[in-house]
Amino acid sequence: MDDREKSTPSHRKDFIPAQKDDVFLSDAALDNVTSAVIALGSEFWALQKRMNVVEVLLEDKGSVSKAMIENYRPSAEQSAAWEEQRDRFIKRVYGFLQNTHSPSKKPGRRAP
Amino acid sequence: MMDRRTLFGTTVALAGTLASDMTVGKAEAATNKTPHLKDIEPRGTYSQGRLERLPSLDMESRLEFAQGFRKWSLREFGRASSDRVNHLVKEAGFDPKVSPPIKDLLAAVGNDLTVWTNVRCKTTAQQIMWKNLVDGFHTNERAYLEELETADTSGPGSLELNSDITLPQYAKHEIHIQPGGYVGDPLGGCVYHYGVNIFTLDLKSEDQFHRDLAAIVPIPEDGKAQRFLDIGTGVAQLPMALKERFPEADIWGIDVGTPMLRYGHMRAIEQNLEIHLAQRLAEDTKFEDNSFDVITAYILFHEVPTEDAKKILTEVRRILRPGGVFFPVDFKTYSQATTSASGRFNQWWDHVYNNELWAEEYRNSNFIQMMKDAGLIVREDAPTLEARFWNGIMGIKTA
Repeated sequence: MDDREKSTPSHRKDFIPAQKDDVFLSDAALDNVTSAVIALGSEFWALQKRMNVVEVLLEDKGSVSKAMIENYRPSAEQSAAWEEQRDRFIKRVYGFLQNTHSPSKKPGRRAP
Repeated sequence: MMDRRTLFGTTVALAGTLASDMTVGKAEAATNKTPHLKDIEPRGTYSQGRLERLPSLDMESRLEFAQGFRKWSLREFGRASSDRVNHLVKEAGFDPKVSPPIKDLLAAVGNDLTVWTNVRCKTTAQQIMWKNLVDGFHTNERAYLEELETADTSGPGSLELNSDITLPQYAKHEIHIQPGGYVGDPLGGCVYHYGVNIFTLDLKSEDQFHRDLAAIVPIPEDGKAQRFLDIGTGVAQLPMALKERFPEADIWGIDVGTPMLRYGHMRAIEQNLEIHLAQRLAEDTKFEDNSFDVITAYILFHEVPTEDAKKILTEVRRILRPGGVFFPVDFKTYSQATTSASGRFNQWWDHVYNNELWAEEYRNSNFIQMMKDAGLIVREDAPTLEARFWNGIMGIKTA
């Protein structure tokens, strides 16, 4: 057993990482920018959801605290409405990524 | 489960009180020491009380986005991409209803921007999902580890860990590109559980799929179903569901991943379900001959190389009692069903970029014949939750 095999009892250090070769578009930078834009959507949605919760609490209670926001439990109706809001946001913003009617003008990294 | 919300404030204090290395070995053969864990949970659980809410609103929201983005990538954008794949394959002279060989399929797709942008979106959705889960849970790593350590030696049920087990090579990979995979992240069980929920587009799923699956697990014709084993049990959702259906039965689950088993054991305690989990190899279970009435395996075999799958099937036959039932639920193989060009392309993505390393090998295998070669009588009319998707097979051991 080599050193890498001497993992802690809770987990192993000799796992095999997945290959990171995931460039799909015509330039690695384009892949990175696309991923960054998608990740920004994740951060935006976190802020939007927090704002939704704050608005509901202010209407209902007249004031908010951090604990009230964190522990707020939306109703089934609110959850459904916010899910629709999220899906509209995704479609509105990321629908631009579907504007790909013509083939790439530059050969992509995945050319067979 | 411990209070995950307030842990944000207690991490530093806890960090100073815990040793750097846990002694998981003492968890071996733990059983029935306490009725269940102390449960203080300000954010509570989702609607059925089985799944703990994610530890912060921000983390929960980010993962809701990941789920929504994945859904859009698979459905609206996914349909456009699939249409494009089928169109390109047709242009190349093939019938898109039956995929050409992968080499011809990829040549037909070429550099198409619609298809590869969709691949980018699906892959990034997966990466964002894992990153948020790993970052979120590891923010409070010490506290979570303490929580697991407490559960290790508690009951009901038992947890047997064999930390010096020699892992098969296939079990060491980061399947689904999950950081650390099933074995390399001490919080991997927790990360996996929520990740799979998002992957299946139901972040707040509370074991419902596994409960539905347990409801259709076939039992031997003689009606005797007292001892069950789930191989490759992961976070033990199926054993938990089997225990609910068969409360008097002796339910076991085995897996090679320490993080998966520890988390599964903790969840079973939370639900007050007496199941027994052990870190053992499916190829060499250490159980006696004819030990089990029913053996299940849910989505195990597409993650195992063919040669290892054969060893597992041989072991299954050894420990299954005569008349016992083996219920291996997995995807259909190509010997069972043809696949469209777009479906094949999506499976290829899953294989290459979602790191499903042996999924292609599995789909190209004749798993039914492998079961027969192992000495099992195969029935192709087994219960299934969705016949067009799942393999719908079971094996029976003759005397």
